[in-house]
Amino acid sequence: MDISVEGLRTSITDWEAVRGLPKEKLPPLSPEQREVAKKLQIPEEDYARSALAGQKTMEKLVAKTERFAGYLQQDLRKRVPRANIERVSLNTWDGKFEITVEIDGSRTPLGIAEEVVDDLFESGASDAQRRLERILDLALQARVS
Amino acid sequence: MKIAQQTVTIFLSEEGQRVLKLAGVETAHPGVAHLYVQAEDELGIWVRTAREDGEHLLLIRWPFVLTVDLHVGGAKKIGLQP
Repeated sequence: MDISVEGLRTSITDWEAVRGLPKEKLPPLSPEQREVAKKLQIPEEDYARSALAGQKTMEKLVAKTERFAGYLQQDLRKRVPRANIERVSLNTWDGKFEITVEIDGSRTPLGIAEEVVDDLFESGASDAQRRLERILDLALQARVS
Repeated sequence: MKIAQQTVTIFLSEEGQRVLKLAGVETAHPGVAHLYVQAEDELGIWVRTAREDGEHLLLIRWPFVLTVDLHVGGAKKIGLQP
């Protein structure tokens, strides 16, 4: 299964945490990053803080995507034991998970809003679970018909 | 496309530069501001700025924005066994 996050995002928590770091704790910029900082006329230190905060948030987004993929795989297998999730990708620009499900060689694309997953994982909202179940039902029905 | 929850580089018009200066926001280079975007709406871009008494939100109105540069990032990929 491919798990990926496409795009970039920095949570306010990570941004604040990195902003408070002393300069010497920041990772050095690559020559390419240094060049971009120069072109954009922004201090290298500011660039390094942004990059580090973005990286911290990215790690959390990957973990969320991985967790959701595991949940989805279990749920799908209960419905269709032959179902296999090939890809789960979080697109941060659109705020949605893009999923490819394979059943008996046939592939079904699925899109699930990130907020549904956040509601499910962060508050355990039963409404979010129902919405997710409904999305899966519709996708599997469409495949059968 | 949403640009909130990211640090972006905003290139400001001359009027925008004057307004930012008036608002007491210091930038390393006039006309270029590297700021964290909290939100965006029809009025403009809401950015966070540190002041003596703590964090503030500042609105940069769209007419003052010449362009915005943000790092798209690559796809971060990992593989997971079922």
